[in-house]
Amino acid sequence: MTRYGMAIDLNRCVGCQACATACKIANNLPKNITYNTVYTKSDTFGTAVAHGAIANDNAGGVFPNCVLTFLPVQCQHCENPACLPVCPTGATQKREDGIVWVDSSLCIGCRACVMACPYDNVRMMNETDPEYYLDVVVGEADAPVHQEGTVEKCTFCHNLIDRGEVPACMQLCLAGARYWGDLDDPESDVSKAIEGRKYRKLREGAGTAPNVFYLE
Amino acid sequence: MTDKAINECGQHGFSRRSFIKGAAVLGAAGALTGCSASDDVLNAANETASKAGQEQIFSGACRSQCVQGCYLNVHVRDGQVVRTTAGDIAEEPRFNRICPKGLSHPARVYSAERLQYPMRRVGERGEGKFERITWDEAIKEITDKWKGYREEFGPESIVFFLGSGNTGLLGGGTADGSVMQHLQTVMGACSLLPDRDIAFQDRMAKMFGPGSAMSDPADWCNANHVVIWGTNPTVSCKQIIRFYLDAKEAGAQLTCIDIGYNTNVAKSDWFVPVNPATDGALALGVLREVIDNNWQDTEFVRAHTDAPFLVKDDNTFLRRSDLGVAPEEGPVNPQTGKPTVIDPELVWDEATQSALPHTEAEKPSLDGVPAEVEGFAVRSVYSMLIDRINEWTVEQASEISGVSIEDIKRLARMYGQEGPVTTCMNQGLNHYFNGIYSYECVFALMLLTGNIGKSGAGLGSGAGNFGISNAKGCVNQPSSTGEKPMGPGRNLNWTAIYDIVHTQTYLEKPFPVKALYCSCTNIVSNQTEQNETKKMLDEFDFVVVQEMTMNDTALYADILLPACHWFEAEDLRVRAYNMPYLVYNERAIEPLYESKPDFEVYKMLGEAMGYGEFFEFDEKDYINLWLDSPIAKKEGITYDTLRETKVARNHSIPVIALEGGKFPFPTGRARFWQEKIVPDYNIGQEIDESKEHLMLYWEPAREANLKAPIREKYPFTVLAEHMRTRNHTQWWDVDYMKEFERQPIARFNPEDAAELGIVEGDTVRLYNDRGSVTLLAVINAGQARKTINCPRSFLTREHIDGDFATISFNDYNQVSRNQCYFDQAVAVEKL
Amino acid sequence: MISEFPLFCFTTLAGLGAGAYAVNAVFPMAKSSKRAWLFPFACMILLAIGLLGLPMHLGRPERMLIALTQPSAMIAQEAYWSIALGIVLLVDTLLVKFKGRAPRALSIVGAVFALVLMFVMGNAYFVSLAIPAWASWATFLLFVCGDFAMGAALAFLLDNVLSEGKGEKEADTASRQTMFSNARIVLAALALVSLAIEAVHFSNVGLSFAPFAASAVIAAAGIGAIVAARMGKLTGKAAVWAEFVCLFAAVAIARYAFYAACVL
Repeated sequence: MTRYGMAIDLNRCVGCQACATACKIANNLPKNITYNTVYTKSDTFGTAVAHGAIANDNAGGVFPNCVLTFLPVQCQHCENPACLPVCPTGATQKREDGIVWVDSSLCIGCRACVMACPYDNVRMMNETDPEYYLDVVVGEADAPVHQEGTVEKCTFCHNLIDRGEVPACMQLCLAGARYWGDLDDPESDVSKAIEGRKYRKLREGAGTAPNVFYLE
Repeated sequence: MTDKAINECGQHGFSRRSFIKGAAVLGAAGALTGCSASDDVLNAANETASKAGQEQIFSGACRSQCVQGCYLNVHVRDGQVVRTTAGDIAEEPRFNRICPKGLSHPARVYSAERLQYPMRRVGERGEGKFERITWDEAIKEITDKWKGYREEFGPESIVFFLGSGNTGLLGGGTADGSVMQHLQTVMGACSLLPDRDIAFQDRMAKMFGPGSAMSDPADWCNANHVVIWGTNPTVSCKQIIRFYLDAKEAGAQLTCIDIGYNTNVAKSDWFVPVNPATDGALALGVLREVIDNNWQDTEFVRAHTDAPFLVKDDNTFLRRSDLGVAPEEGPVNPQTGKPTVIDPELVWDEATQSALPHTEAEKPSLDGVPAEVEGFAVRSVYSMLIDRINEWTVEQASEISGVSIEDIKRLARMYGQEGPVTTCMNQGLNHYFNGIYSYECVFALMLLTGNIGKSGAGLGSGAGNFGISNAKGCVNQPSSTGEKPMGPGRNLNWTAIYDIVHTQTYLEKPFPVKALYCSCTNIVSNQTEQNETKKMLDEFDFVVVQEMTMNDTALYADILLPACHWFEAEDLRVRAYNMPYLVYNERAIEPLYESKPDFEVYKMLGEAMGYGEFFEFDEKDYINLWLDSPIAKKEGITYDTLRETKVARNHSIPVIALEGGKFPFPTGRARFWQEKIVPDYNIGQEIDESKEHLMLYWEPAREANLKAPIREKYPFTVLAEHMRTRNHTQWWDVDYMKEFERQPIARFNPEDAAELGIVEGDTVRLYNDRGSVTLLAVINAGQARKTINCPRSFLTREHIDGDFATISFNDYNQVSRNQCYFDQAVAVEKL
Repeated sequence: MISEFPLFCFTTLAGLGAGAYAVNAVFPMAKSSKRAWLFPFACMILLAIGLLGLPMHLGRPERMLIALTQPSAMIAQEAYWSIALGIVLLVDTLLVKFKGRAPRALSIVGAVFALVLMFVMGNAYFVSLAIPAWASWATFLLFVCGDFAMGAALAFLLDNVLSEGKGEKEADTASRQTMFSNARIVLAALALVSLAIEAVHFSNVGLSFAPFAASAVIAAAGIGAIVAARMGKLTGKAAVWAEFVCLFAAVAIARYAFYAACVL
């Protein structure tokens, strides 16, 4: 059974923001919607300009023994998603191949999924009519629809995958830190990337069984 | 900004929005974003979704001077650029690359800040008040003025600034054979030199020879140690970061020598914090430890450097002609057209105990040379190197550089005993007044320990570039009637230009300069000492700027010409520092508004100046002429093949540069010694030649020096960082990028901040005698004390007050024409 | 105004109505026969006003009805049980108004619906892993105990307000009144404990415990009002209103602080 997942090598991520930008453009995201955030982690939980910090890329610790790492976070496409049972309309769904997605046409904007999800900022609500940076539509023709009053999140670019293409954030990671594919196929890029590597997942205690492996 | 400026002058009310709506009717642009009614949105979405996956893909060359030269796919739907992705170089996928800048091109194409039509200034310079004019009016006004100046003052009264903001052959300004350079050559105009990033290239050329001294990153995996010395690849060359990480995975230990704890350090195994601009002193301390332990690579030095050469009292080498043997004539030098002179340098051969040409000696002596040879008082270069090194102690080096004695010794062991060591450098050390000295000391360390010219050792930084091909042929091509261009006017140094314009003299002779033409550049933001730049622009009679957006230089134009976006014109990306490929850029969409390809504009200007016969080529002609070179012929590259393959590689770039220690000098040996001191520039400056002969000299920077008296008044040095999301000020108009880097900031060490009473988010003012800038403070534990990092690349209007570019000084080292972007001290005021 | 103000209104008002109805089902006190129907009616009105808050909370209220299609979702559950309780309240109101009385069984059924509704409302927040302040069993206690405490006070208040015209045979015995009074003290005390537990939990997740401490004090004042009334120190309307105002305020303040923890 196909089970799509991701691996992100934290030893390699340099916080260049290419994956965040690729996602923004390919999905024609409005101004206040971010699917994929690359956090700067110094000695804190992680900060991002996209979520209110003044600047990225500041180290923690005490010079010269500092800490500076980066953590890209988007929807974890969990095996046991916290968002799935709480959605009253069935807008949040999990496909057979593991991708968790939101059917905008069913979303009533109750934000139960946002409250249920243990991963900060991966789900966002269009509080107002979406505003865009440009007057023209960019990105894929079948990019997600952005509607006022609905919740959105990373779609694993299932629109691209379903036509044999590559998720936007995966098209090219400069440092070679990002992998995706079928976790149940030992020959897939993601399975081979994980093999033999130490890894952790985010908030494992929450019981959601996320499908994003952070390689360390 | 643009619309506002226009409307202030009572314009026709033509707006970007109405243009796009109109264009959509003509099918030239895409759908507008959805409105609020949900059904409308869903219906529109369904309609568009049916077109998924059917975009036309054009080849794009991203070509700002971050010089990573990425090959992109430009996705076009309904005549609109909707997305970019990394192009695939099937032959060598390791050069597939793209970054946030390359990914956000749609926002540059459809930017609200694009210049839409030619304009004429109606307010003061810098005010931004313009009125719209037609292309015909613009070209006529420019060339009427230029012809007038040419007649009255001569062709050198017109000055070109060949900008590097576009590294394309047809549209760019860079001196790689560009059409702009051809125009300059045909018109006999002067070239105002950017004078940036000179020290690194200069020392490489002077010590390692012309041509590339960089090894292919694939060879870094063979190193025991990779040292990132004074460069910031994770930000400024992020496309090659994978190669550093690959080397680390292959077992190389990664060391980072830097003034602060940044992302590179975070990926390294060992961090060596160093005081700003003291890397040369550090290298000298390391060298002292190396020679004290006898860790130098004597055989390499003997065989592959000029260290054994004998220097006479007059600073020239002892040559065979000094022994009475007449020099011979060798084959003609293609560069000069004259025969080469064969008069070999002599060495003291220990085997025969005599002075012999270095090519004949069995064992050239390094430190066993008699004081007098053949009647001449001589010293070997090597003995002078040793003397210079012995002027330094490890303790001294430690005190100046801030690196512990233990770490200096560890570095010495690394270079002396644990090679091969690959040393990765770029422009970081260049940006201080003592740039050339910093590089030469590090290069000397590499040469003396034999860490160059073999697998796993050498200079890392780039991944090669295609080369200049037939740039000269393009620039100097004759007219269709066989007439040769009159040749370019003089090169004018940036540091001299204000005085030249102000006094209309140069080197005490009259030198009228009247007109300035800038293309592909933002000199107001990107040169040093901005207040002086503005004064200089104010005093030029006539300023023409060709630009994509209303940036800070555009504000100073008398005539402002709208250049189109890169994807709106055909071009060939030639210059790249980290890509051995040419990239052919297809025209993906028509130029928006009334913008034109730079290529077309240069031709229009040339024609209107009466030089039409020098501009009868089309794009294909010019590109084919550029490709008329041995290397392109060898690779079988023509315009037609490029249209098929989109990319083309130079396969002759060696993986290991300078392999076997063969340096591309006539002697075949790397150089430590300069016989004759030829400064890069001449504005009548005084030169202390004693600093320059032996390329192993160090002195501190001007203001970054912790001991400089000016530091009492201005205690902090400011390093002007690159940004991940801009290349200099290009991409300033892409609001997407503000989700990552939103506004000008100053990063403070936490203890410094505490002493200043500053917390995150406070508004602060950095100032010195030259200028001032007000911005937001943030806390970064990665800062060393008394250092501040500020991202550079913001326009004046993006600052709370002042401008970051005002605080640097515009002055050159005595021989090197090099602007110093990091050598600036400031005081901090909390507001 | 906190972001979750509509939800605050919903659970506080609906919880108040549910709590009052449930308490009344267990302790049916005498009411004037003419106005007794106003009791279930008042509960229904509170439920209705609270439910008005729900569309205000939604991004796309016009699609609200789709929210009934996923039984496992807490919001759907809240909707079901609200509707069920609402129907009982409506039937109860009509029966009392037009038939004079409603069967006890109906009240018990309604009480069960009300109790389930209280739990379901708490559960909606218990599963909210994004907000550590909510994802705790303390949430259940806060909601259920709070609903009962303020519901009981409201029931007592309404009994008094609706008592005019009570006949001799309808009046409550003194022992019954004492029992009811004891019950209300116990419920208020449980609420006070739930507030203390919540204060500790909030403190543990790095948020201020002050609002809950304040609520606890006010709840204690409410208990004090009941005791004072028993001892004759506080009489008549003052006693009744003091008890309700204190307990309602205590629960409302605590709920408001609870919702304020949502920074999404």
